[in-house]
Amino acid sequence: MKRRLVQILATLITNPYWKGFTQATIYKGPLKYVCHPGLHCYSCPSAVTACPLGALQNSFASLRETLSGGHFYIGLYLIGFFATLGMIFGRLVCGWVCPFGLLQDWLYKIPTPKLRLPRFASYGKYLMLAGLVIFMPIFASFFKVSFTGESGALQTIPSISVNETGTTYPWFCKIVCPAGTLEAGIPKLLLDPDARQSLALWFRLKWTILIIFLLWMVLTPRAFCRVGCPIGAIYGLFNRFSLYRLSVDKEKCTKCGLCEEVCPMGVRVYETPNHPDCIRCLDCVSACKLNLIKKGFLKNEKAKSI
Amino acid sequence: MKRRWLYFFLLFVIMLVAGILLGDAQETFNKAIKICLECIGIA
Repeated sequence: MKRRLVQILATLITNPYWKGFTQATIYKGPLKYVCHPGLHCYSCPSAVTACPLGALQNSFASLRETLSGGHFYIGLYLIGFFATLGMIFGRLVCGWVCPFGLLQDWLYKIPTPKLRLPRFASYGKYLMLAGLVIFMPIFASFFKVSFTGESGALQTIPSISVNETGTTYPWFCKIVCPAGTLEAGIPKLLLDPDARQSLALWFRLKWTILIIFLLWMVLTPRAFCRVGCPIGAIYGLFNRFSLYRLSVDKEKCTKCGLCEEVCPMGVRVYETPNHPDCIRCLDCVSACKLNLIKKGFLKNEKAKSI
Repeated sequence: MKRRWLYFFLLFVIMLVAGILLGDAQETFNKAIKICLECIGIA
């Protein structure tokens, strides 16, 4: 109950710009210097923060141009942002703050038969991170055709890999991100009739991916968090080191498996309480009948950790 | 362990601050105030 309240408040606090819906626009004020800690599209009409994942991809996508221009926009701000939060909280943001996580929690409550995922499915988010967030934005711009125009300036032919300025795209946002489709794409189409004339093939692909994930979220808890979220992949890398952590009293644990059963991410909490997939929802803490799972900014974890 | 944690944490905070000073935050802002039409499949 407390977690749900925090999730709702976090979503409302980071989405106060309701004028965006009435005027078919987005917030352009100073809060856009600040990144939302979770997955939330900056093109959402009500959003007042930037999406760190979109910003990171844009930094990587324009890396060659900015470095050759003598600037040093290499994503330090964003890497530092993710790492600083990760070192303190690990993947707590996913469980308590992310609006897309809240949506998944609500969708899973719809009464249907449920589907558990195999463990290897969790590697999907690392593929998304490595492939679409890091590799493609950095290297896709190598595949471009440029020519010297009549004025003597170098011009680039827009293609599937680069735009007219020779910069490549934020590939995760462009191809996959269901949060962007839901929070920004659909409102844009509903609020701006002219936009409907400009629908590209990519929108049909993204719409399909969104529908698949929305259905999947009903069947599997936190489906997108488990298999697709690059932000979760980044924060998860810090779970082992974060200040906020879980610990299990292994000596008293009977390995009944109840913590694993209630865990939306399928973590065997009694084995690895700080698994990269743990979103610190604390369902396991409530479920453990022997109260052996501790949470918080633990100090003497060595005595109790695995 | 705690000291190592602290060193890494300070490193990441320095990266965050350095990024802001070098203009990363400005770049983030410049992108975030425009609707990303490619991102939402409308382009």
